[in-house]
Amino acid sequence: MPAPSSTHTDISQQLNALRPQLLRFAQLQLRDQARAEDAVQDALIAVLEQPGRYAGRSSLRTYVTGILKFKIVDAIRSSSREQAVDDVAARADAAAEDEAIDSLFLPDGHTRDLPTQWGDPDRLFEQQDFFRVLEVCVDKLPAQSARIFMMREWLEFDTEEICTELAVTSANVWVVLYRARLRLRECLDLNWFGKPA
Amino acid sequence: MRYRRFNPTCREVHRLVSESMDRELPLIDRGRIRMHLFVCEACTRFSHQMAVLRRAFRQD
Repeated sequence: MPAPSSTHTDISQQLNALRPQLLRFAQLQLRDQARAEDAVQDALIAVLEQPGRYAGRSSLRTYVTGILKFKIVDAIRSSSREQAVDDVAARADAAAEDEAIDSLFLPDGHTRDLPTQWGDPDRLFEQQDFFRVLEVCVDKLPAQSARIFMMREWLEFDTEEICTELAVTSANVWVVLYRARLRLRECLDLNWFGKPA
Repeated sequence: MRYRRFNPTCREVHRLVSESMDRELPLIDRGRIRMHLFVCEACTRFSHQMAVLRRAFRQD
């Protein structure tokens, strides 16, 4: 068997460095630790088995994350559905979210603060540091919010699919997503766009 | 949530902008949002922030 090429070793090392983040993404969506690790393993193996497929792509990280995404979606769809959460808890959470959202507005319905200007997204996305900050902001979200948010925005499940998989109502999903977006917006304003607290 | 017929507040529009990312709003709500954004800097900026946020996660 031929010795691994330096490219192969290099990719292995890079993948190992990515593993913790990949595991975090998987753990967020797949509550079962073993299944999360399996999904990550499968994704890493998929890349290592076909290094030719990766060659020339802009980012190994983007590539393996893309593969992981499909592994996670498959795992979610093939798993048994979650039980509905305790209604009282869900309603209390929803009420708390509503209050937090309300605090951003004046009694007459105007915003308290003028939202900041985020500028040209293409220029923003050229900066890898932006994505690192964004990742930290997602990590700061409450667990269930992060899960629903990433299910929607990263795995691209539609509302109905999220409701089905997590046994929650669409109204609940929408308010959770709205609140998550507001939190992320606030986090980015503070940590990237330099808005004073 | 009931809101004023022809002139939604920024609070209402912010929520609708977010919801429009997750479901197709009725035509009338889409019209209301568009008209409101036309004259409202705050909601226009918010709408842009949300568009950027969405694109950021679909970068692959």
